[in-house]
Amino acid sequence: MFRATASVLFMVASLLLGLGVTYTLADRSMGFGAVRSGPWVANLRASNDPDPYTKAHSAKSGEIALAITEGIRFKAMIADDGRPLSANCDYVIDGNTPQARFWSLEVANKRGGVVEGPMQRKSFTSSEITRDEQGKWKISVNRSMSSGNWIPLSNEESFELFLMLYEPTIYGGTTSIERDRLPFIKRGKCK
Amino acid sequence: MQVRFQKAYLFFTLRAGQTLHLITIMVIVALIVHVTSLLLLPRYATRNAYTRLVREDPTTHVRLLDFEISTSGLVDPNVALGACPFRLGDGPVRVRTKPEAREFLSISFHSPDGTAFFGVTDKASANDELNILLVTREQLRSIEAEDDPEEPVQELRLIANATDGFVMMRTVVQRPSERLAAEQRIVSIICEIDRSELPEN
Repeated sequence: MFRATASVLFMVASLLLGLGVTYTLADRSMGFGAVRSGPWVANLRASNDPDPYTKAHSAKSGEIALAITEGIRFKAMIADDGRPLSANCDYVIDGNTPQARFWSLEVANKRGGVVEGPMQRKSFTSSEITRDEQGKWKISVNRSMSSGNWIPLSNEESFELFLMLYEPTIYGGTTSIERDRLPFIKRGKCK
Repeated sequence: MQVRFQKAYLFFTLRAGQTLHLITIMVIVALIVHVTSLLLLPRYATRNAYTRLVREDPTTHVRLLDFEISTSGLVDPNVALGACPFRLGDGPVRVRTKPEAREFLSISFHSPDGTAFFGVTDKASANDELNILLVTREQLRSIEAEDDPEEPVQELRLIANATDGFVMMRTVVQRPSERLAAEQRIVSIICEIDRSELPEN
């Protein structure tokens, strides 16, 4: 009797473990085609040649990846110092202008939704950003008010950054992207 | 004393062996469950883009995707996004538009699981026009049989890798004030069943 109960419990535990791993990875995995550059991660094969993890992720989230001819979406969950992005800290995104026909940088919450900041600004695009005389730009991301390009953060604890490059000069077969081709995410003061 | 020690040693070695054995079986079973569920998930998912599109309206025409349908699959708020489901069983599908100069426009063709089997941007326009006829291999054969050899083909004929699927259209919204114009560019794209080139029978 004890043996039978133990076997059933054991099988249920194995089943839950397997399903749990699938559930977690379908949520978080960037797939086998993930390319990293500092804190930025992109799956360059997400749309054209998706692996089972990417397929499961799209199926679960409803996400439609950009075709490689259209663009690349980079995601960052950490700053350049390696620490997770937190709404309690101030960040400066220091622009190395990505080489693309058009780009946009967006702040989103962990569920993939847009962070509703107090001023509704959630993103900047290459056509609307204010640049200095040399054509360089910076975006402040924080809860306190900043001058210049500023994306206000909401009261949620953590957030993610997305960088969308449309018609980029990075191609699908790329396996590494030099760090200085993408913007830096510098962490400032934290509360 | 020594006998007792040996017995205890034997008992723990056996227990350790059994535990290790159990853990190995557990990992293998979990691995099998993981791989199976991973491969089955896309087939039974009801939240994927294609299922949600055709559930709402299965007819072949361009509709704007608002934030509602795409919130969970993060969409760039600086993009106007359109989609058009297709069922090639009903006939070839024509996708046609005249992209505006310098405005980014991309059109991608997806199978139901989201895989993009083809994509073009406005830069690929010929005579200021993108004109694509999406067909199955059989439909292409029938169309080519009817082609006039003297007349150059004016369209890009694309063989779909699945009979069902969807077309996505994207254009960038440079500034928030330009959203309406961008959405207009999307809804003006023709995406419809076009049997005109098929032989009549």
